[in-house]
Amino acid sequence: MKPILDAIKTRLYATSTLTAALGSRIYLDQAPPNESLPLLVYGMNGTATVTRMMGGVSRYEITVEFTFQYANAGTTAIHTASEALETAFATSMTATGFDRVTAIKASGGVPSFSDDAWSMTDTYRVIAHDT
Amino acid sequence: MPINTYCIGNDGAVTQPSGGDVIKVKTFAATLQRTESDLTGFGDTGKRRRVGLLDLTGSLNGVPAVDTAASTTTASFWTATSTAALTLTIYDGAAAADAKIAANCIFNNFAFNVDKNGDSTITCNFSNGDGTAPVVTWLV
Repeated sequence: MKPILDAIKTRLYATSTLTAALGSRIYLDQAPPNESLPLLVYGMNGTATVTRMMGGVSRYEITVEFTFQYANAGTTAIHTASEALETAFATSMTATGFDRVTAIKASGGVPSFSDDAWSMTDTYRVIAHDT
Repeated sequence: MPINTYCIGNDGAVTQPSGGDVIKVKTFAATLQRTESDLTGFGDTGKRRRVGLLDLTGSLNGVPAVDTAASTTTASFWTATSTAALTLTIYDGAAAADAKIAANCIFNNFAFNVDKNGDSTITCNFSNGDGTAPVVTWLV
């Protein structure tokens, strides 16, 4: 799974519309304490579904949650970042050991206030096959 | 040699026509069959039956795969009308003498199912096609 998660991170950092808003505050699983806002935390939700095929190839499908945290209530920035995520995943990614990595948006979040920040979680299906 | 080694589905494998590995097979179903005729006659005290030529029919289910470079061989798999070699392995596939069924088959009824949400599957049927009986090998 690591090359897939690495590919996602590489793609996020290569998306200027995301980094313009978030800087380098894009984290896997957990953000550092007292980190500045806005930020994005992403991680796998649940376990990977592995489908084996004859010929030694497997299909991997994981659900990845992307949670944006913003401090500016009442603005559209959180939705703008969400749309930037869609743009980032408009094309497939490359990962070592896999033919390619494709992310498909499964659900869009609704902003809610918690932990002193607004947050919104988008969910993507991420699919890859062994080479 | 005792028959005491059991097949597990994970042992299965499929070798499609040369250069035509365009279906990454998840499952296959195959039936070896002969037409059965009832020849029971007067005076028989039980049923008398005879069987005809051996046939192989079945289906492959999996995911379509494409070439990274143009290949007329794989492209023609979908439209070919001639027979091509198909090997269905039931056990292991690591050695030449494993439990398997081999036949020259025609492929037909390619059913593509593509879902924009990320699922893409294909099913096709195969049938023995060249007048020669399927070859069954049954060894560990």
